[in-house]
Amino acid sequence: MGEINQFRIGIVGVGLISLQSHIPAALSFPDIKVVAFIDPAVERARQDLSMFGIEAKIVPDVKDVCAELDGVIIATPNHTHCPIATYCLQQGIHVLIEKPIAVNVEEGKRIVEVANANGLVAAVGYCTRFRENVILTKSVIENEYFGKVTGFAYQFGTPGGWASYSGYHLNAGSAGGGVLMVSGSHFIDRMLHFFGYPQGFSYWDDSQGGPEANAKFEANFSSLTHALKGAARFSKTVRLPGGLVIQTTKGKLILQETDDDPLMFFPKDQPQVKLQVFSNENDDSGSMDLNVFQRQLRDYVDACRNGTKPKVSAEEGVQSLELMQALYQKKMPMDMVGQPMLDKVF
Amino acid sequence: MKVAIFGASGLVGSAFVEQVMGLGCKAPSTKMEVIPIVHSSGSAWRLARYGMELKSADLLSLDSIREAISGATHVINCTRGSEELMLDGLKNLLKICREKKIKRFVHLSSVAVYGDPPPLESEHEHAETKPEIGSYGWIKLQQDEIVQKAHKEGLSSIILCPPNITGPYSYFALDILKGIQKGTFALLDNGGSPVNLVDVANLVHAMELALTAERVDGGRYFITDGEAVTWYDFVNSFHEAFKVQSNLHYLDVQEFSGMLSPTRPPKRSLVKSFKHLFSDEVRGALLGDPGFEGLILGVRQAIKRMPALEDKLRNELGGKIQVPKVSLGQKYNVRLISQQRRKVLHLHQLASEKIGYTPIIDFQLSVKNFCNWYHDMHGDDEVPWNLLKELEVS
Repeated sequence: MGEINQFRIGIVGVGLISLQSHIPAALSFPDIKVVAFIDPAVERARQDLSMFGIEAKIVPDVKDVCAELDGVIIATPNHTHCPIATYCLQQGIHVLIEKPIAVNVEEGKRIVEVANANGLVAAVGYCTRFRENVILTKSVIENEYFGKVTGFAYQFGTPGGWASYSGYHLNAGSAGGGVLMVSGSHFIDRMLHFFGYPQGFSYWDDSQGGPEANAKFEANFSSLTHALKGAARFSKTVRLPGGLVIQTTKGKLILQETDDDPLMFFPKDQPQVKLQVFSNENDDSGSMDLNVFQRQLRDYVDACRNGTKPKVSAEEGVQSLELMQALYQKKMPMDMVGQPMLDKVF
Repeated sequence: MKVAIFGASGLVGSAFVEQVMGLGCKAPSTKMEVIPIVHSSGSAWRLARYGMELKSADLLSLDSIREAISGATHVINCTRGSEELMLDGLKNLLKICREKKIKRFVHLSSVAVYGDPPPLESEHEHAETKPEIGSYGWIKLQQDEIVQKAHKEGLSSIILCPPNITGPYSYFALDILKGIQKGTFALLDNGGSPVNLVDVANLVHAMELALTAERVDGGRYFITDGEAVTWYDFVNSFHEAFKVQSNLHYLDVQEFSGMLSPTRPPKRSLVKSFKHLFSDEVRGALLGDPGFEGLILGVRQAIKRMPALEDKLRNELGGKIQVPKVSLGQKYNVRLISQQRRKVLHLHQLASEKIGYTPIIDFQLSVKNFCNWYHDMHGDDEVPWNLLKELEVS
């Protein structure tokens, strides 16, 4: 493919997620050219990028390279997503925005408006949607292959974990929230994809002025034929084996929180049996050989080139933000998890 | 008093900050000001939820430490990490403490300094310390010596020496509980040995006393719950909360000793090194390099022209076919079972005399606090939460 056909991309924010995932993904496609890296900490970015051995501009502000870009990946602290995305869109540049799309619904809607007004793609980086097992789960639920869904529960917890360069994730203002926003937003996105928007919900977290470290919710969903109840919990203080368990009329589906584990089905009437479920769809594109970040980028670039909708649109990003904001608004205090009983001594 | 606590995001550090500042409780236990200092923001969620300011510091940078403890009058060290961090980092920290004229330095050590198993004399602190070289206890012992030297040089210091730490968030209790649930934990000789425990709240209480004690001597003090609890008692205490009894395994010392295969480093051998050089992995890697590819293919062609030599080399270099044995036994957590060979009960008598330490939480309450915390985090008896039990076993 000649260089003239290359999609010229800029990566805004040279932090951990860019270094580990977005940059390797962008460098893996011959029809994508990384033209520039944009990060106010230019020297640190230069040092970190040296391991890739690539020649691309490193500039502090996206304004410095606008004319050279077809699209950008925005992987900066959450509170900067909206100003950067709207600026790029106004300059005619497509955007792929790391999740969450913004820190509040108003900002998310603003991004959608500007993208639509300019006829450009605004995609959101909910990369887990590109997992083969997630795609299969959606199909199995819709087709009721393993029966009607009657309920589900999800959990994911790690004691601490990922640390951003700037530490913005521990500031509810710059992250938009705590563990619900930082870890839970991926599941919220998938939950909306699988089951639609809930009709009612209850929410608890342990925030006492800072970002919550533990959060959980219960939600009711209704479809044309039946109602179902779901629940999810997220933690940044304890390990909770990650996964989604879906109760159906015929048994239980289990989807582990990994990119590669197969979807499992445990039939209700045959407790000694467990089934691994695989997709039988032919995929000549070979996209299933790619990791989720490569698939996400492929989808985004193809959408930009073909004028199609990306797999995770800005509208969907706003919807998940709406639900998270609604949950926060209905917050009930979770007992401060881990508080010892000291009343008898103090 | 303004206390800078390094390692504030860990089990002990977080509990100290919460307890002293009265976070989530009804009242602070003392009127100390605290500067929580963390190494990485990734592990600081437990404290961040209160909206408090957290400082970060790198113990390998003097400037970073200087900035972090600015304004502090007292310093606590609960950090863990690499050997470099624990030794060089500690030296850096002590250097800045002396420079800043810190009034009291409280260091957290470990009973591991006495070795594994520890000598019976180590019911008291004066027993001989003989950890295995390179072990965690060995590094902790070096730390103690560094702190004691700093004390002699004028930095008022005290070393607190806890055993296994229990209470909410306890890694030790979680390890045992998970081991029981997965069948990898067993009681040795019916669990009759003492399990040395200290509830995290008791340890925090001792840290407060250590900060305020009028005079300290740079010595090491055991901080324990002070109860003669056996491994059986401890494990059995989970029964009511977790119904673990049916999953319990039992071993006697002889059975367990049979499971411990000595792990010796491989002996140096020219023949083995030669074989490694011609292994598939090395040849594969070299074949990917155009510089070596021609050479290797040339040698291969030359050898192929001499079938007798080819067979001989294959037999010599390949060696006999070795079929790995299937493990028929139960896979146990050796570390947790091995601890039960320790027969000594460490006593906190000296800490009582020197800093006035008395446990504030007894064993029963400690277990209750852990179980309550665990149920808060994992409670899954109601629909649809009960579905999550599947994730533990799937």
